[in-house]
Amino acid sequence: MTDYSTMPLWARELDFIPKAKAKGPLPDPQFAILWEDPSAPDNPACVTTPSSEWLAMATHGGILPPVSVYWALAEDEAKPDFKQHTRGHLLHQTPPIPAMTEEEAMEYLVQMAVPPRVWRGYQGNRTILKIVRRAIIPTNREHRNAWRIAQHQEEAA
Amino acid sequence: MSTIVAANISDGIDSTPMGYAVNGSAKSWSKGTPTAVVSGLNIATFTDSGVGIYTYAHTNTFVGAEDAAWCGRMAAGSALFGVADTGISQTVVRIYTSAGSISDSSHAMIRLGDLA
Repeated sequence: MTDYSTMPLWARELDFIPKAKAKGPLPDPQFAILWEDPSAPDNPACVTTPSSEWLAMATHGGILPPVSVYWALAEDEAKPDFKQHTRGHLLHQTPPIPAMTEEEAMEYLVQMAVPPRVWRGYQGNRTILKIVRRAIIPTNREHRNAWRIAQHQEEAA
Repeated sequence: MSTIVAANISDGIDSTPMGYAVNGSAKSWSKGTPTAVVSGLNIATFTDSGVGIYTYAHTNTFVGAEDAAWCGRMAAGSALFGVADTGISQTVVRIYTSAGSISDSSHAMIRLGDLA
């Protein structure tokens, strides 16, 4: 098994994905994250889905950095005098995490790709974050900009 | 993985500094529909934020937001065009009709720049 910890993060994808595709189709994501932004209550619900490439790397293990690396970079970006990243080495030199299940990968993505105000510290009454099977997300987009997360467990959006 | 270190790259006739080849390479690209990313490079997630607004989160963050990105409609027909806003960890794509209203569409995005 290739030791990806010695490669920059971007090079890991370039090395791994062609090899994975040679073995067969990449996994089709089964789950999506439904979320609403409490800072923009008039906006429709968002639907975040992993790419097949990212999911393949997540479930393989030994490729992606811990999610705390993205938090550290986000903290840098939030500083008023931020111009550009100077701690990119965290992405490449932090030991990669082991394989995740798809469910664990979705929890990782909540903390990586969804604004922290959605998953940390929200104190409102609405459910503004759900991980759901993609199959239950409506395919009719006629009223897409009116989508909200259903507040009953049996409904998705 | 091996590394070739060279100042220039040449086909035997024409030569160009390696920096052009390295800096001119796309650091991220994607092919997407209104509901998912079909395939791509350096794309962790696709977010459907509403009609015609799609956000791509990058696996490898960019150094800064001073990059360039392009997007456009992928399907046949030319009545739609795209605008790509570069963030540091994400790229936001918006697809508009020629009349200026935002619209759902399959699309493609490419981003250049430096990775963190």
